[in-house]
Formats: sequence, C-alpha cells, structure tokens
Amino acid sequence: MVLSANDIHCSYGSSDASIKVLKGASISIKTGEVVAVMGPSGSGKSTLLHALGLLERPCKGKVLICGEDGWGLSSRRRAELRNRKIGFVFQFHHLLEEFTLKENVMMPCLIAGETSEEATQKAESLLERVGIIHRSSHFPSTVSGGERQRAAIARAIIMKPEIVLADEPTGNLDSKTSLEVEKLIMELAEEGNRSFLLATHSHDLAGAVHRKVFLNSGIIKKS
Amino acid sequence: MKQKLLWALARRHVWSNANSTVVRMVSILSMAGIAIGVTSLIILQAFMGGFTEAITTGLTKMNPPLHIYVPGGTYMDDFDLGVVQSIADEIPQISVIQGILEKPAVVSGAPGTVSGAMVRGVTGTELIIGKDIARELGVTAGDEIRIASTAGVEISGMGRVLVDTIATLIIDSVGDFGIEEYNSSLIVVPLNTARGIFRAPDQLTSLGGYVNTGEDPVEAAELLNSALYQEYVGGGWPVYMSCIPYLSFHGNLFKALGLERIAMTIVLALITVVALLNLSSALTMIAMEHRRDIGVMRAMGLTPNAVFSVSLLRGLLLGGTGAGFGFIFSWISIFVVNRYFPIKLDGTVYWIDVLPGVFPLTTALIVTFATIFVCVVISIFPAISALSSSPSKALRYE
Repeated sequence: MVLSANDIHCSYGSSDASIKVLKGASISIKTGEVVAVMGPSGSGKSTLLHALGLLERPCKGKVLICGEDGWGLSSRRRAELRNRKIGFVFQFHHLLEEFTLKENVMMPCLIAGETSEEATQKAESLLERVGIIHRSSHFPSTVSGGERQRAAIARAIIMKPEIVLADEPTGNLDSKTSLEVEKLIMELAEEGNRSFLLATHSHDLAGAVHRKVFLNSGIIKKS
Repeated sequence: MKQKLLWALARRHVWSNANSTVVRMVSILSMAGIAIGVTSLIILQAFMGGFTEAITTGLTKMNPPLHIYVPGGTYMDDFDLGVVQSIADEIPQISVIQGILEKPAVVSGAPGTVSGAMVRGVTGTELIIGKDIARELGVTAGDEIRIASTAGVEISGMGRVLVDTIATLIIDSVGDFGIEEYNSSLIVVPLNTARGIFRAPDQLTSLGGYVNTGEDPVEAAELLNSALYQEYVGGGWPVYMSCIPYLSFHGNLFKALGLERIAMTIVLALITVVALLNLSSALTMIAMEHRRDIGVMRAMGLTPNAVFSVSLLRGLLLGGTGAGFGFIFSWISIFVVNRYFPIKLDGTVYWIDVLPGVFPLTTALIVTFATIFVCVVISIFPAISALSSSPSKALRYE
C-alpha cells in the first residue's frame, strides 16, 4: 500500500463548540491506483486530504505513507516525507506569485537540496510534458487558469512522489480546460505508475478514475 | 543550495512585485526609516565629535598637554623650571618640560594698523603670527611688526617707573592655530625675545609639559602633580607648584558638549526606534501576506526551521539594507557637506570658523550592526507566528 489511513478523526474549534469533520475515515490506496473522493461541500474532503498529506494532525487515527507512520515522525522527518513521497495539487493552484512557473516547478527539488541545474533540467522537461514550456519564464499572474493548474501538477510530480493528493484540481476551471487537466492527470498516473487521490465534485473526473469513494458524515463509504 | 533558496524566498517576499506593489512599498518605507535613523545618528556623532575634536586639536596644538603653574598667579623662573625638569625626568610618560612667558602687548604692522595681542615666548620656535591678526595688521611672512610693551619696570631717581619697550621683529610665518581666539590675537616668539620685550630676563608665567606618544596626559599630570606635592611637603615646604592637564581648563565646556551629545543621541536613537517599530509592523504584514505561500512551501517539504529562517532573513534583509544604506548615506553626506557645503560658524562665539564632520568609523559600524541585530531580533515574533500556524490552516483560509 502506498497510503493507508485508519480511523481518522478530525475536528475544528474549541471543545465546547467543536465541529467533528472526520469521524473515523479509513482508506487505502495501492501503487498506481487513481482514487476519487466525492462528497458534498463541507463534507471534509479537504480535511481528509490534509490529514493524509501530513498537513493537518488528526485528533485520532494513523496515516501510513509507504509503511511509515507519518504522524509518528519528527517534524523534520515528516517534512522530508512530504517532499519525497507526497505531491499536492490545490484547487486554486497555489503557485508562488513571486516566482516564475519554472521556478515554482523547481521548488520541491530545491527544498530537497538538489542543485539549481538539476532542478532546472527536471522542471523544463516536466513543463514540456504538461505543454507549457513556452510559459516557463512567466509569472503565475500572467498565465491562464489551465496553465497554472498544469504548472501546479508539474510541481506536484517533479519529485516522483508515490502519491499525489489533488484537492479539486479541476474545480476552478472551465469544462474544456477541466477535461484537458483530467486527461493529463490520468496520463501522468499511468506513465509513472503513480497513485492519485483526487477530491472532486466532477463526475467526469470521477468517471475516469480507477475507484471512487464517498465521504459522508465524516465516514468514507465505498462506491 | 538550501541557504540560497531561503535567501531567494526572503528576498522575493520583501521585494514582492508579483501581485501587489503594497509589499514592495512597505519594504521600501521601512528600509528608508531605518536608513534615515542610522544616517541621522552617524551624522550627529560626526559633527558633534568633529566639533569637540576641532576644539581639542586647536587647544592642544597651541598648548602643551601638561600645565604647570603657581597657584595665585605668581611668576616662576628658570630655577623652578629646573626643579620641575628634574622631577619630570623620573616620570617616564613625560618627554619635555619647557618654560612659557605669555603677556599682553600692543602690535602694529602696516602703517596705520594697531592691535592688542598676546605674545607667547617659548623655547625653540620662530616668530609665528596668527592668520587673523596678520590680516588685521596687513602683514605676512617676511614683513616687520612692532611689539610694544609697558611691562618693563625701572628704578630711577623718580622711584619705580614703567618703561615702554618697542621691539621690531620680522615675521617668520603666519600660522593657523585652529581656534579663532588664537588666530586673532596670538603671536608666538622665541622665549628670549619675549623676555627682551617684557624686560623679564629670568621670568616665566607657566611651564608646559609634553608626554610621549600614546601616553595619557591626565595620568601624566596626576603623576607629576603628586611628585611635586611630595617634593614640597617632604621638604617641609608649602606646596608651591601644581600640574593639571591643559584640557581640564576647559573641562566644563567638554562636559557640556558631552551632555548635549548624549541628549541628542537619545533623541535620534528614538527616531531609529520608531523606524524599528515600523519595520516590525512591515515584517508582520509581509508574514501575513505570505502565509499561504509558507503553507504551500511546507506542503512541499520545507521544514519548520527553514520557515523560521526565512522570517529572520526577511528582517535581516530589510534591516541590513536599510542600515547599510544609512552607513553609506551618512558617509556621503559628511563628505559632501565638508567638501561642498561647509557649515560656517562665528569663530568669536564657537572658536572655530567651520564645523568639521569627522566620519566616526567605529561608532558608525556599531550603530549599523546594532541596528541590524535589533532588526533580526524584532523579526523573531513574526517568525514564531509563522511557525505556530499549521500549514493546513494557512492553505484552508486563503
């Protein structure tokens, strides 16, 4: 298993007015598997992804990434695990505005301590792959939404992570661009035998994945 | 590479031009505030220090650092000089003791000119006249001046009578003594010439002592004074001669200047404190502006320590650039003022004609590095705040 989460509980707010978002969610993802998490707004899809991606510590439960207990590690080791094993794609791309698309894509390599030359080479090759090499020196604010999301996807996979967590990757795109991004995600998953966990509302995207699960009332139900 | 990345992140954050010019403007204003604070502090030290130094130099240039005198104003003579010389020989800090005869006289130069002057006789000198009195008398090096004195006393059948002496002398050089008071009234002549003018063949008004290079005149004066005291008290005599450092004659002036300098330094340091507070809010604003970016970076694997470092580097970058500019601006300002816009003073009031700015390198470096250090310290709060915020929270609420 690339990712395995068991009995994840998450809540927000103080103990008096706490909102329980996840009430024992469990999920497992195999290598190369593309899974879609579906559910209504506010059902906790983003919270689940953040907990699985080691960004939000769950109140209870265990997250294993390639067999390692993510939340049992030191913060430094956890950061390293995020850098090397997990890729993130956000709904609003979340590219760093002060950096060009190429620099954004290079960022995980630079964080990992790779040289600028190595990172540049990898970033250019990925930008070529996702079809935006001509925009490599552009800043995010000067390119289209689809191009930004492609750059965000390239950034998520540059470290060849075991799993990519994508939070509504097409949620902010028009239908044509959504289809292109969906196609790209499926191609990349196949090319790298890479696992994807996609939180989405899109039935088109959900229709293309290997497996769908539903998040309702804080619990994951199989399709 | 990682350090390079952290610097790049900090630099882009403070110079952000991607989606908002506000951050860049805030950064520029914060740096300008720091630069102005540092510049004003250094310039203050340069001119206050320059003023004190010019006066000190002027006073010490024309007066030996040790002043040996007889309290009460009684004249001394060559015997006293010999006594002091023999005592000073035992004090390694002191190099030379010389006799001084200084009295007022009337001087004339070019036809129709006349002026009051202070004639000072010392050994081993030529005739030097202050530049302002030389101008007043219309004379220069090689010209003749006549010095008239009424100090001579003769006994005649009429009893004790004052006798005029008029000496005609050739000026060897016109001197800039550094202080307006000396330039406008002092004429330095050989001791024997002065004794001739004042008809006082053995007389001295005071003694002057010089110290070896690097020695402290205050310490040397204390040693000599103590030795003189022992000499007289040990021999059963009342204390006759005393020694003080020459600058202590003007001790109150230097104390007043020192107090003024402290007060102005405090006022200008407060301006720098205001600039630092402004920087603190700018850093907080920049941290808030980039909260989401830090969340994204953490998602990509940036460690909490690295996040902390980026926040500190922002402070270092803004503070370092501001303080660095302040250091450079102050140097340029002092140079330009000295060279092109000298600050004129009324020499009769301030002793010197031009206020000199002396770049205080050590003080400037201390001010600059202290400011940078404080900038880094005040960036700790936003750094801790960035650390305590979970990446998920930063991403979710943006």
